[in-house]
Amino acid sequence: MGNVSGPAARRSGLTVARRFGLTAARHFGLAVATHFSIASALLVFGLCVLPARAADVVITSEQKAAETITLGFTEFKCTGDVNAVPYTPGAVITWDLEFSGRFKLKAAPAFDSTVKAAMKAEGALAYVRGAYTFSGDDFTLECELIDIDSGERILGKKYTGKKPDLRVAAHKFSDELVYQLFGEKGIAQTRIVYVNKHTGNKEVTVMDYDGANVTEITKNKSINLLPCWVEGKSKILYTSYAAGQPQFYLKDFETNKNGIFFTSKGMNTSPSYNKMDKEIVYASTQDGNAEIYRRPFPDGKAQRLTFSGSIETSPSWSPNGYEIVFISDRSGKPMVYIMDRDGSNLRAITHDGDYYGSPAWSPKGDRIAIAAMDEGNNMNIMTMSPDGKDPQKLTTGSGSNENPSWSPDARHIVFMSTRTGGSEIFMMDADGKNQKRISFSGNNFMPKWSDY
Amino acid sequence: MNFKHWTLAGLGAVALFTACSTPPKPAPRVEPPPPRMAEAPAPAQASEPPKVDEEALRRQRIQARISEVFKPVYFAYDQSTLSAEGQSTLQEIGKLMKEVPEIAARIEGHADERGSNDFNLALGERRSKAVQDYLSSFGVKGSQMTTISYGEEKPAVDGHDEGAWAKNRRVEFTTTF
Repeated sequence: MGNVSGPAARRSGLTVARRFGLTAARHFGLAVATHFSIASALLVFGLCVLPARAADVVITSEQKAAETITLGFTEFKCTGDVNAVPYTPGAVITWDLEFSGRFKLKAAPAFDSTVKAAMKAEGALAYVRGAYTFSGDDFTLECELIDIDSGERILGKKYTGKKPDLRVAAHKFSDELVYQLFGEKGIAQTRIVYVNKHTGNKEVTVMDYDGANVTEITKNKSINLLPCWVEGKSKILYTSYAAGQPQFYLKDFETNKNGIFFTSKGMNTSPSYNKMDKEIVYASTQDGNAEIYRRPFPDGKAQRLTFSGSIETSPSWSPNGYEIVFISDRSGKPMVYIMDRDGSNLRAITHDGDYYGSPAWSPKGDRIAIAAMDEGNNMNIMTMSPDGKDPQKLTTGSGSNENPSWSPDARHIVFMSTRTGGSEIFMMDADGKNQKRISFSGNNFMPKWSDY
Repeated sequence: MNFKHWTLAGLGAVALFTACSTPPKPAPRVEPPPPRMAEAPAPAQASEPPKVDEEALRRQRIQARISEVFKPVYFAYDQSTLSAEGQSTLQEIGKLMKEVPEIAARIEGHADERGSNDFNLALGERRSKAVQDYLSSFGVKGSQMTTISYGEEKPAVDGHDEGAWAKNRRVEFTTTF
């Protein structure tokens, strides 16, 4: 990353605040700036794609809006067959930017002086424009970020490839904008794995995070459950009854193999992958009742971490790999516990309530999402800090809401909800705002958000 | 081949006989004779009375008792303790399994849809183990039993009320004999 003490950074207090968080910014004595420069931001991150020759593009933003940037967005021009794909890349990017919660978009068909005034009135000082075309099976997509006043190009990207990958290219530009303007990775290329039962059998299925590109991973007409991403987006570990006794299966997108991962006595379920140490933690009944085990991935000896006559299940790694949050009913009710990676230092973090399930530790480490049962036997998603304090209810009065899983940037949560009748995949911001349905086929369960 | 046809023919006759002579009880399920029965050579049958196959008869009686005795066992919410009714069901099952050691039972634990999928898989397992332990202490051999849990994934009844839930919190048996 770039040198944050350079003149550009000094001019751009807000950029520094974004990179280090507002607390750090205050610590450095930096007032939250009401001005910052997109061009400076590009310099600071050392990722200038085009010469940042534009004089400082000063974006005026209110203090409250420090987390969002307003951009104009003009329709993407198609110079080929507009029906070659059933979507437009502009719509894909619009969805990404709005979903991210980082942008406020002011849409317009094209840019002219009237639009310019309207965009500026909304607080936008730059706008996105793009064009695409097809040649045989190939596409070309060009996307730009343009300074509204000077008309100069702040950022430009050209993508080429085969038609089915146009959507991916559009997502790439969304991530590029997030990275260039916020200094953080975007989630537009992430995917969701879940279980779908439209055939009557529970099959592992994958879709893009925006609900597109639904792909069946299993078609074994058995029961396939609780899938989990391993090694980024390259593998999926899940429990399958395909061979009778439920065992772990592994789908590897690189080798395209899909089969038994390892077998043991009893039943293995609920895996969680720790990328820091390349390990999985999971629940197994290999020694009798359900206990938590840790095992190197892909190979190595499993180590038992819990020893109790009660049920221990649903483990989830802390992002640094030091701790594991899980469910145990050793007190008589399913409650949330945390232990160190070797099983020591065990403590309960919930003491009230009747029933908690499927905890998920935020990739930023500061919150744990969990489903808690209410009086009406419905589950609702809540988050709490890892010491059990500051509980915040994110869903309420909208059916049963279960299996929360975090986006890799910790800004969103995907979950299953029965609010529309069937079971569907929903997403929301980490604070519960902007709840949005992603699946529409009915009978969708157990979503897990991939890594970047 | 011939012998096989003979046996099947005999079985068919026995089945008919049994069905007629025991009117009050529902007839035990008998495999329908395969269609090629009709083509079986019949001359021997005409001259001799059908032999009664003792072993086939015994198997048939046991099959009937299996379908009578191996009933589901139901549980209270989030519980794996056996009710008095559950215990008496298991005593009948235990008696039969001890009497006929060739019977093997797969003990399948289930949960209702409330709560999380992960926990319900473990709860189903706990229910199947509770049944296995009970049968074990009753004297059934470990080699006759295996356990599996389906959690909330294979409900007996669809529905989102206590009526459906009560029927789904269960242990079922799949037997081989």
